[in-house]
Amino acid sequence: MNNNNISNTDNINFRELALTKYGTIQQLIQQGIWRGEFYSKGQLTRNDRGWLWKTIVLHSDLDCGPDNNIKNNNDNNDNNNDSNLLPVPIVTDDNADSPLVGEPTSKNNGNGNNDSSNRTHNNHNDDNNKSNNDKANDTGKKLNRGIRRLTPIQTLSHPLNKNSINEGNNATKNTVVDDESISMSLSDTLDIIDLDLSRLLLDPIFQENKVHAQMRQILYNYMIILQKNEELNTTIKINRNYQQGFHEILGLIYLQLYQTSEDDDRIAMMNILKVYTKLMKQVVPNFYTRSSLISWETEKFQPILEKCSTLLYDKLYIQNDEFSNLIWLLRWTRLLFIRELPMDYVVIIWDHILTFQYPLDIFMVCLIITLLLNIFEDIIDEDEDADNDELIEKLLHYKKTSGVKLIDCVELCKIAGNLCELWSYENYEDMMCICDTFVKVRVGEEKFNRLNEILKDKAARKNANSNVVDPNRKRLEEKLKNRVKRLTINFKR
Amino acid sequence: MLQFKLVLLGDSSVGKSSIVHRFVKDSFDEFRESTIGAAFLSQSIKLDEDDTVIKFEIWDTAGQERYKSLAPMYYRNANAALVVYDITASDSLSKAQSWVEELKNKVADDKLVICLVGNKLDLCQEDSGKRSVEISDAKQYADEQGLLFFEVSAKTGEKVNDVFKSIGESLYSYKKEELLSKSEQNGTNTHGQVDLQLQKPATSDPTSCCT
Repeated sequence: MNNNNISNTDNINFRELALTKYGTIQQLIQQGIWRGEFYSKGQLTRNDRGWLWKTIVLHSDLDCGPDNNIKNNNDNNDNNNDSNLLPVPIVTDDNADSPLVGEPTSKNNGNGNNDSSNRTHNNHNDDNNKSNNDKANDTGKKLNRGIRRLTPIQTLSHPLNKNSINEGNNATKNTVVDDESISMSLSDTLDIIDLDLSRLLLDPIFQENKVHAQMRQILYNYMIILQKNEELNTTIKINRNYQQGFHEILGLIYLQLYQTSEDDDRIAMMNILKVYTKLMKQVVPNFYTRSSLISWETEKFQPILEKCSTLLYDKLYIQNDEFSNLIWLLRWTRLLFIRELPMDYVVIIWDHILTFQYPLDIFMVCLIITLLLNIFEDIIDEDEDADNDELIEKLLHYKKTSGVKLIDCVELCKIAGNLCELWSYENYEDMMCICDTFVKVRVGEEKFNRLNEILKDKAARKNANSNVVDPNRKRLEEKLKNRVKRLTINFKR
Repeated sequence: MLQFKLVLLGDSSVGKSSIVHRFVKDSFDEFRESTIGAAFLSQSIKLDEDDTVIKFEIWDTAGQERYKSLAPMYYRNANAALVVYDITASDSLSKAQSWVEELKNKVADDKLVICLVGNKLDLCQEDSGKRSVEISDAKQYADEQGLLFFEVSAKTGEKVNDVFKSIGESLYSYKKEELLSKSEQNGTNTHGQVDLQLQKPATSDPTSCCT
């Protein structure tokens, strides 16, 4: 509530400006966002951005073609929300272990109980829902028995029970299964959602009961969509369980959209869910499923990086331990930079992401590469003794590493967009040219050339080291060894 | 200075990151955001023995990373593992036990130091009814498995430093043994003593010795 209402008149100005200046959503996307016209007058407020995201994400879905009129769409803005969010079912003994979708859960499911309370959360007693809440707490107590289950390994007895210790080894071996292929139960899912939401620190509002309940309901509804949605299940098997990180992405969308002035709560929540679902449709299959994250890295990130900058590729994948880049890439991709960059920077990147001008998997690669170019000299360390872990440490603390030298965010997105286009045209020469030029401008041509030389030297020396034993010499050595052996045997005799 | 890689494993919200922050920054936050993937911090301690300085490179992992997951990426090449559970949530101990199993099955290095740590001791000191894992039971399990064992409170800081000190001592004694046997093999050891400062430690990375 705090700073969002301060500039209410500015909000209207922003919208009116946007509406009068740009006739179509495409113009608004191209000029307002990609050419950066929206950002020339300072930062957008959350309300402005909420309106912007709603407009570009929800209305480009109305598929009126490229010349659809914003104004008409804007008038319709919230009228097409005829459906309601499902209430979160209250967890009972009957439904606790059932999956979110599929098998009948329980009589309580969907009977209109608008459950905005929390089963196990003492902090979130919703006064409006006192009776529900009591019921929920009672159930919670009955269910919990001091056994908390957040992962899909069933524990039927106390883990230190004598029998379970004796059987421990076998039991664990049998239960080591791929957690992505198991459907997390309703109660496990809600437990971890509650836990994550209680630890969502993007903004203090997430500690408020009402916000917690709304976020929980939206996530529950999204999980139902994710599990029901068959169209995602085309070639790859995707992980349809709730995963840590879902909450944080939703949090950032919620912050922009929860209070867009003319909306009531129900409509705002519906809009948040829609924007979230549209974004996650590309995020989950690419980054939240382990096998596809790994193939994204080997089939997209690595080849594109190699075309863009042989120096960076060399550093990250030849000199570095190949496997270790996934450690930082995982957080960068799964949270779409939320933890890596300053918040006002992140939301501008998200403006661009939400225009869906490029496939997200490729756009993310190009954004990441551009961010790496931005700290080129930190990555291509001249310190010979720097080890792999130091590099990963730098990348896990990008904010600190990049410091104040981050380029303008719109520029960043433009470069990344260019790279995406060139990649799709297989114009590798220009990709490399863009990246090399960028680095030269940043660090100066002289330094660029020097770094280049150093790296070439390193590579050459590495080759030299590994080739130290040429075949002829090796043969000679073997001969000598054998001779010495024979001599010593003779000597011992 | 000797450098070692240490990895934290355990169920969600048992307090892995809080233990690390208490150790590295001597601070505690009631709310801490969920770790996504892994976080990295480092901290050095000085052992009483020989005034040895040990630097821990700490890999703090997400609780939701589990079986067949990306976890091996984090514990690969680790010299020590801190397997954490919450003494007020008995199920978190069975998760910890699974981690111990996994480490023993998957990590070839028999010198891997594993320390079982029960966190949230402060909650049980306030209200003993909250305890759901008895210290004697956990200790017995740790002994059977040959693990170091501590109950700590990241919130008050109780015993947190002891954990790292004890791990450091174990690692140091392994290191001494290793160097001793090496120098015996090389026949350079005349008085049964080893000058550790002159030797590179065989940690995860040969370049990780900072002299």
